[in-house]
Amino acid sequence: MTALDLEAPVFSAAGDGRAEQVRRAAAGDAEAFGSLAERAWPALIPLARGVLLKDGDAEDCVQEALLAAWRALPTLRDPEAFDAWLRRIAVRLALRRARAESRSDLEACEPAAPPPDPASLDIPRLLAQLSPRQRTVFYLSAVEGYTDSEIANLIGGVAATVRVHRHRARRRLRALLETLDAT
Amino acid sequence: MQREPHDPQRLVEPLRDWAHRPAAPIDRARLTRGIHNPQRARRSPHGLAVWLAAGVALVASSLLVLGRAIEPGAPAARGDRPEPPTDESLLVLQLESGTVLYVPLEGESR
Repeated sequence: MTALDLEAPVFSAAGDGRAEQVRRAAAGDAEAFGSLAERAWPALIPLARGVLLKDGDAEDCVQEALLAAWRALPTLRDPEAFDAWLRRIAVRLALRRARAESRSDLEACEPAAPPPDPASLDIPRLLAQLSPRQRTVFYLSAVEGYTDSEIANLIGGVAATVRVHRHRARRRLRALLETLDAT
Repeated sequence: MQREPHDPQRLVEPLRDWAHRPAAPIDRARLTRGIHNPQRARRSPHGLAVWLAAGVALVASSLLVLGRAIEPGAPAARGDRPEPPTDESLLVLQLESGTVLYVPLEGESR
């Protein structure tokens, strides 16, 4: 697994002895992993919220991502890459959940989400109008400031596809805002 | 900078505030349960063992069916090969390729 070389706007394991903590956790020290998880939690939740749009789902997803990381930690070769690695696990897991959820919505023949409330800017409901991939790309790009290639690295794929998703997300949001402003 | 009214960029600030609002603290008890739950920790190897066992069972049952099919006298075998002759006037030759030839020792050719 290659390490992500991201400017870490979220948190960093380097420089504060956390690389050592990562090594201890990889060796099976559950207490060390618990400390890492506790520090990572507040930074991972917004990422999961941006994709899943619900607090409960985001918390479940991050818990699941942490357990997946615990199990896979012995395979992580570079402890300095822990943060980027964990972020990638969390984002991919969130995206997978969001896609599964949108598929089950389709199977149940229900609309993906009710239309946004014109009276107020209901952010989660507005973003629910986007596909999970468009939403994830828009969130990571516009809010978290990742570049296309960083997003491609996070979610899997190539930068050109990320650009397409970002373009479609913005076009869809623009149309939704026009509709909202017209009502 | 002047921004057009429908520019999705206007969503960024509220979205950031919404996503980055304080979160409930991590449920350490749940995490610890997950870490120490051997069932969960062994999920992948267990799943692999189940798949391996299923694969072995499938191969074994295929071999069993195949074995029955090539037994002399079995229905499938009867379809593939002529009945072994009981007539002592026939010479039974087995070629290196495994083909069995029944050659009449005497009498008219067929």
